[in-house]
Amino acid sequence: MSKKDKELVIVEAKNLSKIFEKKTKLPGLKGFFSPMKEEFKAVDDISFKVNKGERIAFVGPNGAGKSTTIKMLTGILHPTTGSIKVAGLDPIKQRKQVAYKIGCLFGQKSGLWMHLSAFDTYKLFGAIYDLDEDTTLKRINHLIELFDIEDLVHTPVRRLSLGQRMICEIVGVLIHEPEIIFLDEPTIGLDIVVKEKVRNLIKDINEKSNVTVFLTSHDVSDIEKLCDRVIIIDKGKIVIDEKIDVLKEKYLKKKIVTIKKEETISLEDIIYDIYTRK
Amino acid sequence: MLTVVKNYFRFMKESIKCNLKGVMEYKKSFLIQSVFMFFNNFFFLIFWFVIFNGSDGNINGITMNDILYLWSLPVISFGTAFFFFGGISKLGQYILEGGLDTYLTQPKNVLINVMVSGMDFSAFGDLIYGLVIGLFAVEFNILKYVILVCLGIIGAIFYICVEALIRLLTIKIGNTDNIEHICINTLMITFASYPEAIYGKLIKMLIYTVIPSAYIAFIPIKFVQTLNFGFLLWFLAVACGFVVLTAVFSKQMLKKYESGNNIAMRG
Repeated sequence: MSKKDKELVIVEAKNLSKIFEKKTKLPGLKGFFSPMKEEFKAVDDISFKVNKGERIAFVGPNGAGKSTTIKMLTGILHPTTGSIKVAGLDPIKQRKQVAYKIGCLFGQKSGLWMHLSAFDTYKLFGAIYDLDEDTTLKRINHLIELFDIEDLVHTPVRRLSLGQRMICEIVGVLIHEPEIIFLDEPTIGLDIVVKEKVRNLIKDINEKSNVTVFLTSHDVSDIEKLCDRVIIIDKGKIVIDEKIDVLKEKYLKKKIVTIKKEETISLEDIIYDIYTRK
Repeated sequence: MLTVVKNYFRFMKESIKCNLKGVMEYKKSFLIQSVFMFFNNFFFLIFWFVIFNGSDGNINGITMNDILYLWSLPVISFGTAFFFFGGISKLGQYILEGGLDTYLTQPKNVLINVMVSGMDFSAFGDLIYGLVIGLFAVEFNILKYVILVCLGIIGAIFYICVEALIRLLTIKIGNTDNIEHICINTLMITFASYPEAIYGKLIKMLIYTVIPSAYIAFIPIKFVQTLNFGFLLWFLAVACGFVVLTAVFSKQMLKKYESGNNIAMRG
């Protein structure tokens, strides 16, 4: 890989695997004292690269290995085999250094403190990421203005709606100006209006600050409207890694069109139609 | 190095400030729990007063003053540990529910980050109680009081480390609530609540090794009473040992952390 390529690549996973041990208890005393141990390969020898500024959708069915992969990339889980580089660093050996470069949002977990306002938590984030007080306040005020959330940030987080909370969460991820943000199902449980707002917010961050976006979602619209590349994972293996346009061209050859007739059709006509169909 | 330490102190100060703001959201609950804990502790002393009232103030060499020491210094340690660093008792729950993810993606030591992430309201009652009884234990000698409070605060290290060591076992064995209750409440605190002179050799061996009751009570108290620096060095050396042991053990255990996808909120 040339030096230029190295500078361009922000995430690199090589032959990455994660094996979990599953314990199955057999009935009776024997099962209690010696449960059966089974190995479960959540991620199976995957390799990929992500370039700076890309918006990647990492998708797949439940249990496909999406979250496990994200957790390995962010230093939460240790891979069983393989190597990872994020912003040129190893997230396992250099977890803390990597943390300064990345922002993580897990849609099912809150990074904000429930009893405090988002503003107070943002100030705490400043201390967590070693930003001095002036820089923290400047950054918070800039983000508040940019995303127009002045009316949300001073209310205790527990009183915010899910959508409002998610917008505040995304802003929280950006306090330390990360180079890449990992978003694990950021639109989970949101209504279509808030979903659209969250998508625009993420797109804005990417376009204005060239922040790389690595996103998992079950919502096809998230992928279509937000991302320029998609990696599909199933049973721990990458099955497709394509640009969105190429993916549409290659795989979306069929379209189901539903036609609604203006005149009423009787049940007799339908049955006749079925019988006479060749 | 100095910048790293400075940054950690600023981060811990900000976290504790956030916790205190959280406490203020539930002022009544905080006050009620603190006052109840203060009186809960006070009732134990009443029994000791009754026992010593029936004697000439000295039972087999043990005086009421010894008891006051036992109900001040270790209680200051407990109050400091669980009021300011009460998040550590949530470590097991975070491990079981995948709540450590947030802490692992932040550039701070996971255990320090977790311990400043929460407060136990009732421990404030313990802290105030320990500070008040301490004044009587040192008979209002200011120098001894300052030493007692300082050692009480340092003694919090033992509670935090034992709590962390037990909670980290959650990664390997699952729920550790009962183990924690037995080790800290039943063994560590109980052994530290009675004079050392009543224990036989076996118990003494235990409280100077695996159940560090001697280091949250007897050793620091001996230093306050005698100002013999040997006791201070012993106390500080074992405290450092516990910190190193906890750091090494957490590094090993966190490698095996398996996360989870539970829906949860912080706070």
